[in-house]
This record gives sequence, C-alpha cells and structure tokens, in this order.
Amino acid sequence: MTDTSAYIKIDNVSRHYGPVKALHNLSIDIAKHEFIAILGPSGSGKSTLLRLIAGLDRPSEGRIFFKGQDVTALPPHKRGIGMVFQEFLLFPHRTVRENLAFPLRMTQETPAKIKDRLDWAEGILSLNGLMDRYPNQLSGGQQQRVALGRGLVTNPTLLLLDEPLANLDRELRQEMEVEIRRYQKQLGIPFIYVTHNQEEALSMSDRVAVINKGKLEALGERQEIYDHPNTPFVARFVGRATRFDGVSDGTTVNIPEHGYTFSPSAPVAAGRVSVFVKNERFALGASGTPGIACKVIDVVLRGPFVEFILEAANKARIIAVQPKRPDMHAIGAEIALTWDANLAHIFPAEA
Amino acid sequence: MSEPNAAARKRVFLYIPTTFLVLFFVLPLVALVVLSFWQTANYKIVRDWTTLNYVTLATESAYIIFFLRSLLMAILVSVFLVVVAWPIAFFIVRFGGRYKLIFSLLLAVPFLSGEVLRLIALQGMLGPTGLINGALMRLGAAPLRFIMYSNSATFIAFVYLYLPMTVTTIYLSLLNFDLRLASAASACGAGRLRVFSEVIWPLNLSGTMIGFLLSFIPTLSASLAPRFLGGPNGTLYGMSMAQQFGESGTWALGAAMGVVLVLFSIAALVILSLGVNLRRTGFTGMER
Amino acid sequence: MDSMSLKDFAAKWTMGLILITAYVFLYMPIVHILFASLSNHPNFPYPPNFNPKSYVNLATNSIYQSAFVNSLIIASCTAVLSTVMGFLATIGVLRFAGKRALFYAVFFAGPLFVSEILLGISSMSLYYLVFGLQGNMVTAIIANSVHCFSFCFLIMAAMLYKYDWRMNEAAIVCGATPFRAFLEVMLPLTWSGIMGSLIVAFVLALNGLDISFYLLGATPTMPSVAWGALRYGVKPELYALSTIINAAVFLAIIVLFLKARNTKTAPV
Repeated sequence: MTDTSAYIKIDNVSRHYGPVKALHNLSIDIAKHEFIAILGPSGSGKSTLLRLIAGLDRPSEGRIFFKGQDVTALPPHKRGIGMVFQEFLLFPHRTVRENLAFPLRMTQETPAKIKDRLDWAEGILSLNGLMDRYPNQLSGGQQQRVALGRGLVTNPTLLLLDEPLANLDRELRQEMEVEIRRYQKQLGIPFIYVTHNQEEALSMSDRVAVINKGKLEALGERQEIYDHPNTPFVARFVGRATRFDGVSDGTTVNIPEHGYTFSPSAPVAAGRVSVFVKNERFALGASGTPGIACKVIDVVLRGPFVEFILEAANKARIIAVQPKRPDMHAIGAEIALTWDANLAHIFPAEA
Repeated sequence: MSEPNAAARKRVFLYIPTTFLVLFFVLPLVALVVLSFWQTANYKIVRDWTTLNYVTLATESAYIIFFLRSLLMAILVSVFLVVVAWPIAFFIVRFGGRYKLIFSLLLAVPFLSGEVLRLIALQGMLGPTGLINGALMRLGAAPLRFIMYSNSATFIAFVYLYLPMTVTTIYLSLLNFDLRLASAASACGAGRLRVFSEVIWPLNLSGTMIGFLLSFIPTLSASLAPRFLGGPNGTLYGMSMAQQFGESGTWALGAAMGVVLVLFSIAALVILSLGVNLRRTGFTGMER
Repeated sequence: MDSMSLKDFAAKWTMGLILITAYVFLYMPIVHILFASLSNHPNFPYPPNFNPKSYVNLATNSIYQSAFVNSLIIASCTAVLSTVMGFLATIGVLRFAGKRALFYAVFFAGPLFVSEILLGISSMSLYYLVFGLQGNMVTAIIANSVHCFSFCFLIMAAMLYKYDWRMNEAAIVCGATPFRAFLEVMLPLTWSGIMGSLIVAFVLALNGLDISFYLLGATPTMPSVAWGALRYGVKPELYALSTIINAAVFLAIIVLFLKARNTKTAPV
C-alpha cells in the first residue's frame, strides 16, 4: 500500500510508446503551496510527464493521486486542473471574457458565480479594459495573462504550465516570471512548471525536478540543485559549466590536457574523473601564477556580467563569467585560470 | 488517448473512408475489368471469359483512330493549358496582393456550373448562330467554319472546361512556394530565365504535373464535348465508349474501352510521377 | 538597369494580358447567355432587352420541375455524405495515419484521377451488370459522393492542416468533454473549410451529368434534361436555366467568401 498523503503524488509512473521509453519509473510528491519546476532538455520526457498529470495521456505503468484520490483513469476534463500552454491556445473566435468564462461554463457554474469569478480574474490579472477584445488584438504579455486566467478561473487543484514563457521576449519573460511566482504564492495551489530553460526554473520555483532521457536525475531545493548537483548531467545542465577530463589519485586531481593539478576539498576515488566548474566560479589570476595559462581572445559584455572567451595553450576554448569591473582584462591579455576547489563538482568519468 | 483508445479512433477515421472508397470506387473498377472480359449479345451479357473485346479494340481501325485522336487531343489540350495557366497563376501570386483570393476564385468559379451548362454557354458563342459568327455575318464577313462542329471546336471546349482546374492547381502550388527563394536566386546572380528554370519551375513541378493530369485525364475520356461540338470527324474514344453503353448496347466492349482509358490514365500518372523527384521538388513530407 | 525594368514591365503586362484574356474567355459565354436568356432575339441579343419569357417557360415546365427536385435531393445528400467522409478522411490522414499519411492522401485523392464518365460507367457495371441492381437515387448519390469525396478531402485538408489540434486539448483541460471541445472550438474554427466542402460537393453533384446519367436510368435530373433538350437545338429556356445556376453558384461563393473574410478579421 503506497502512502497517498501527499497533495499530488506521482507514483512510479512510466510511459512507453512501443519500444520507446518516454518516461521511466518516475516518482514525485508535490506539496500544496509548492512551485515545482520540471527541467529537462527537449525530448527528455518532461512534456510527457505534464500530459500524464493533465490526463491528456495515460501512463503505461504507475499511478497518479490528487489529494489522496487516484486520478490515473480520469479523463482530463474531470480532474479539476488548470493548464497554460506554450502557444497560449486562446480560442481565437472568443473574446477574452468568453475565453475566461469557458472553463466555468464547462463546470455548469451559475451566471452569478461566473460573473464573480470573471471579476476576480479581471482584477488579479489586471485585464481591465481588455475583456471584450479578441485574442489577436492583445499583446503577447496580455495573451499570457489571459491564458493564466483561463487556467486559474475555476480554482483548480493545481496549475500546469507548459513552457508558457518560451514565446515571449526576454524582458517580458523576466517580468512574467516574477508575476507568475506571485500568483502562486497568493493562491496557494501547486504550480507545476515545465521548461528547458534553467534560468526560468531557478528564478521561479521552490523545488526543481531535473529530467533526462525519461528518468528523474535530481529533485531538490533549487539552491541545492545548483550548488550541489548529484549527477554529471545536472552539473552540466543546471547553470553554465565547463567540463574537464581529469585523473584522480585519491587526494589530488590532475587535468592532463592543461597540465593543472588541484586538491579537492573532499577525497575523490582514484581513477578517471569529470570535473565541472560553473563558468562564474572561475578566477582569473595574473599570468605566471599557478593555473591554466590562457589568452583572452574576446570579451562579451552581458549587462552586469562579462564573458571572457579564453583560449588555453592546447587551443581549447573556455568561457569565464565575471562581474563587470572597470579594470577588467582586455582582449589579448595573458591570464592564469583557477577555481576554488570546494566549488568544483567531481564525478567518476562517464563511460 | 491511451493506446487502445487511439487505435479505435484511428480505425474510425481512416477505415470508414477507406471502406467507402474500396466499396464504391475500387470495386466498381474491378467490376469494369470483369465485364470487359465478358461478352454482350443482343443486349444481354454472356458470362463467358474472352479477350475478344480487346482484340476488337486493337485491330479495328476506327477504334485505333478514335484512340489516337483522343490521345493527341488530351496532350495538346493539357500542354496548352499548362502553358497558359502558368503566367496566369504566377501573375496572381506575384501581383495579386490582397486580392489574390478574389482573382483565383473568379477563375475557379465557372468550373462549378457543370459540363453541360458550360457547353451550352460555349455553343452560344461558337455555334453557327452564335455570337462570333453572328457578329461576323452582321459585319458582312464570312463565318468562321473551323469553330463549328470540328475538332478545333472540341479543343476550344476542353480548354474552356478545364482552364479553371489547371490554373487553380498551379496557383495553389505557387501560393505555397516561397517567392523569396526567387529573390535569393537573383541575389546569387541568376538571370530571369535561370531563376525560373532552376528554382521556380522545379519547385512547382509536382503541382504542374497534377494540373496537367487533371485536364489530361478527363479530356482523354470525354464524351460530351466531342458529341456536341465535334462534328462528323470528331469522334473521340470516350464518346465511342458512351455509345457502347447507350445506343449500341455492347456493354462489354464499352467496359474494355473503359479499362483502356483507366490504364492510360494510370500510365500517365506513373510516367509523370516518375519524372518528378519529390525531394527535388521541395516535398518535405506530411508531418509538420 | 533601365532595360531590366523595362523587361520586368513587359513580362508583368504580358502575364496580366493573358489573365484578362482568360477572364474574357471564361465569362463572355456566361454573360452572353445571360443576355440571350432575357432577349427576344436569343441568337444575337444586342442591344440587350428584358423579356422574362424564357424564365416563365422554364418555371412552368413540369419536366424541369421534377428534374430540379431530383437534382436537389441528389446534390444535398451527396454534399453531406461526401463531406462527412472527407472530414473523417482528413482527420484520419492528419492525425492518425503516421508514416502512411502520404499513402492514404494519395488513395483519398484517387477519384480525382478517374474521370466522371468512368466513375459512372464502372459503378453502373457493378450495380446493374454484375449484381442486376437497377440504378436508383441511392446508387447515384453514392457514385456522386465518390467523385466529390476527393474535392471535399482536399478542401478540408487545406483548412485543417493549419488547425492547431492542441486547441482541442486546451478546451479539454478547461473541463470540456472531447465532443464539447469539437463542437465549441474546432467546428467554429474550421467552419469555412467544411462549408466550402459542402458547397462545392453540392454544386458539383447538382450540375454533373456523367455520373447520374449512368446510374439513374429514366429519372430526370437537371443536367440530363438539359442534355436531352440539346438534341432539339439550344433553346432560350436552357440559357435561362444556365443563368440561374451560374447566379446561384456565384451567390454561394460570395457568401462563403464574405463569411471566411469576416472570421478572419475579427476573431482568429
């Protein structure tokens, strides 16, 4: 007997399409009030997971529980969920008001209740003056808010968001990230947010589930996932990192291609290892000091940060990110690249 | 949406129309083939297997002449239509702007009023008392004989009947063609002719072939236009076939003629599609 | 550069001239018989005058009346049957055919590549000559539907190809049953394609002679009566009939066009 006390319980779910395993034995418990991001590259199975939760697809094995009730066999329209799609998918032949009223009509609400909920949505999403427009008369951000409203208007058990910000430009995206997180905290229902964009996942969520090749790679607090990745995939995928192939003798790690040796904070099993260093954790020391000798071949300004494109002696390219400072290294400068041994993530080499 | 459910849906959506076509499209064609190997005597069917009908068709000079005349007519009509339809379709796509749809609809609409009524309208122009000859005689000129009851009259009728179809097909092909590719080619230094022959034409070849076939196939087996406009030397194969099913009551021979027409339609389809390499015509498959 | 633009100009106007010639070629006969149907001198109705006599003759002719009713029945049933089949086929090909999509699409377009007369003759061969069944309205409707099916399939496929199927899913996660999602979301958004299919099938079946001719025997339809009347020479009544049909077709297309444009400007 499984414990079904979690608000949302995904219990050992698999989804196979013939011989293709889109999802493999995946379990996640989600608490009420929780904003959880499901992060993975395209084709990782993250959208399949979302469709299984929504009921748009059925798991080949495993069960899904909402508030202790088994919903595995329930069709989507009986699950009481809200969902926001990447392309928004607002009904183009209906006004904003009719789009928002649609889910309420489906649940046979009274006209008074519908009006009540529409007023609520109009207020919370600042849709004043837009209610009688058609979706194609709205900006991307406004469409996004209507899509959110359509997902939330029925007081759903949970809200599923399928890369809802992918079609917005960068500035608007950052604005919406804050807004969506605010709604979630205000409403106190779980938001399950699928994305391939690790920045989005980290900026909005409480916990992050990293999925790769249909398997759950990591599940944890966002800070934890970022600072202490438990697999090489997570180390590479969350944040921007550089990988080095190294050899460990138990206490020190040598990176033969750059002739650099450092001592990790904790002992590492002897043998071939992969070393991951987040790009912003590199330190650029003066030429001649210990480190990997590199030459700055280009400098890319990214607002408050600077990306240094470095070339090591063996012509390998490395990117180091530093806060912008007035006295930074110029193109052509020779430097020594090092990192804080505590912040490098070391795994046995992947076969 | 789970697998068994999806399989059931698939059955409904694909199998119903497939069954419909098999029963009422494929099976009749099979029946036509069966009938063509039987005999008719005194308006009755004799269910003896024989190839006599085909022997008759291959040896009697009248049938051979009818067939060659039909084939020639179909080729001439279709080539003419493609040559004329291209500039029309290209003009609409290139210069039609926001009136594209109106331009193309105006060309397609006459197709809908049906063969008989369209032939009646055309005869109002071409006939001995029609508009053209009426006007000529009023002006004191001699009437144009070649547009009355002749193969030329039939040719004009076919062009009139199938022009909407051919233009529409090529128009749709050009509509889905990205004209910026032509600009890209001229930016690469290609002249007008090279742009057309190396980019525009090959990328619209499959659409053009369909347009060609959609006039070639009905022309090859047409019976109404030649009967009405063709005059004494204008008998075409389809018209002769219709007579076997009508006045002469030699259904089996008519069925054999039908089989010949179907086979030649398929042959045209195969020959043309062999000439078209789908990848090289920009075909990328049905999936999005 | 000057000579280039001159060449462009010449090419443009040559094509434009061909287009205009095509319009004149297609519409002159139609306009001519419009005048002829209203004239006291149907052979050379210029200057035009107005005499509704041929229309009165047409309306009071009982053969045309029963033919009209028959044609109407055949055309309506054909429109519905072929559109339903075409709709199933379109969804089947776009959604459920997978790798066989091209195969099914070619098969469903197949009747387009067999001429009407061959469809009529082969259907007659099957029903009458092999099974001994007399031709009747049902067989005529079925055979017409086979012919119209491909047109319906192509028209609706062009429309539904652009349809985002996830719209249905969006409605379903909003709590709509799949049927309700179809009714409230998919149908309104694809209505112009379905309407176009209905109209084209209706008009093709209304005016087609070859198929009904071989499957109906003595039952008169409008094209078959018109064809029969031709043996005794073209009469002004036929011009009147043709003009009415042309006007009706135009009206239908204009309504469809305006409807499609309206749904494009406000919603969508």
